[in-house]
Amino acid sequence: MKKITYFLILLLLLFNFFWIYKCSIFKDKISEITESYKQEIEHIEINKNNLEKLISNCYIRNIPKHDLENIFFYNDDVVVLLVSQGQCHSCIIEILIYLEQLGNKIGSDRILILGNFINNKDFEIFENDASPFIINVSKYFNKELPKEVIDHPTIFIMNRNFEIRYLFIPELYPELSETYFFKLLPDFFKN
Amino acid sequence: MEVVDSFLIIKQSQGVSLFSIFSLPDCKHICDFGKKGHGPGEFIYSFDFCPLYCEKSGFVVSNKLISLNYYQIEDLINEKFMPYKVIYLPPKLNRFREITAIGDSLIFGASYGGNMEMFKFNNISNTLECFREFPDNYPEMSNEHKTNLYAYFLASKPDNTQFVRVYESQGKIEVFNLNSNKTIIIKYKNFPSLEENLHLDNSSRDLRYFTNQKIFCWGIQATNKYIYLRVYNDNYTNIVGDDDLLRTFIPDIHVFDWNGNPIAKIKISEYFDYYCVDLNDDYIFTCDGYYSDIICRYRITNYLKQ
Repeated sequence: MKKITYFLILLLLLFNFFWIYKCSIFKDKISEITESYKQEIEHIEINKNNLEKLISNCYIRNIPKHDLENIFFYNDDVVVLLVSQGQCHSCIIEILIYLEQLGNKIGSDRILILGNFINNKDFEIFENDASPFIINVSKYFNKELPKEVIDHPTIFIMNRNFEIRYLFIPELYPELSETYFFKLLPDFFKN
Repeated sequence: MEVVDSFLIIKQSQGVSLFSIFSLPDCKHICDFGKKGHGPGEFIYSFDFCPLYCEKSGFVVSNKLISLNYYQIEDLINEKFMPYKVIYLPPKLNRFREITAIGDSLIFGASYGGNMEMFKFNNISNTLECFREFPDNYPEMSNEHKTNLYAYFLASKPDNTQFVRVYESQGKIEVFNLNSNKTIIIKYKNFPSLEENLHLDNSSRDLRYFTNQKIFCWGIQATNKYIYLRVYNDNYTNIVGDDDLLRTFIPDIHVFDWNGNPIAKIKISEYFDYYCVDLNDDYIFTCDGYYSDIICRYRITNYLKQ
């Protein structure tokens, strides 16, 4: 009888140890999942913040007519890349490659680059870098642009009345770049 | 410079034409082609160039950073200077650091965008895959810095079954077998780890160059039998001075077979910037950037017999 009791106590102890071990593994898994959710929430918060910034700071409805009259002769909608001094060089390169491939679909004459540069020398360097990808590069200086637009290369569609639509800043939403350049813009020009 | 079949192709940095083609082994000049410019058949932002071994051999050249022009050697010697195929890679790759072609359809390489240590692009199905992810050692570092940190060189075996990479700042060579998906890793003894070599820890954000930083290798070539590495294995300051390679330092060519066995160390007598090996493993050809009108030829059969 005694032997059976000892055996049962031992079994109970082993069983307890097993459950403690299982619980600790479960706890680790729970904290791992919590951590991954925390990261996801953080990512969503950053995106939300970017979107708020975009809406509140970058909402430009049009470009004053007199600013562009001398360089803009199009009667139709065009895709515009607006680049300002001091922006990330490799981000601009990536957009230029996107625009060149977009130009193969919609026609490269429907793409215009505006260089927001104070001095001519910097603009000429930029023009030289951009011209293998896009031919239409013009200087356009405007210090009144929203901060986000001055900080990041910005793309939009502009119509003949200089009204802006489909504004997009790839650096804020890199995951949407392919959809924007390869689906949204070609679809817009198809219609 | 690269060897394709029995032709030597040299990409020129000076002069009117971008490429010069010579017949081997006598280095007889055949033709020049490729102008700089934005027009059809012209090159701009063309930095990468690799041989292409398929039914009709040729080579692949990058143009406008990440589009690739495919040429057949037969077309070029018949003075047809247009590419037989032009492909556009996904813009998110930004620009290449290194590429190699496996047959007519696959490209492997390192790019500054795309957050991958090595990408694989199939130009028939137009699909981009991550072939190797960046190691997760430096979470604070940008992709651009990581691409420079894990800088490597690639070369394909002409039968298109394997390719090899060698790191610039790690004493490591990897041979990838595309049929079996197996990888052979060869590590050099006593070469410092990346952390020690570049003074890194997991909070590192950017790359700094140190005088005692060691350079392992700056170049790779391959034939069906062997892999030829341009090995420096010395401190950066002993190799580079005033932002230029020191002409007093001549690297050895280390030879391995495709199973990772060391075969030979070849000593080259004259300084060189570029090199390549003929597909029969008979000669090494070298060029010195200062004397771009001279090609040196070294017979290597004796080294490989030992």
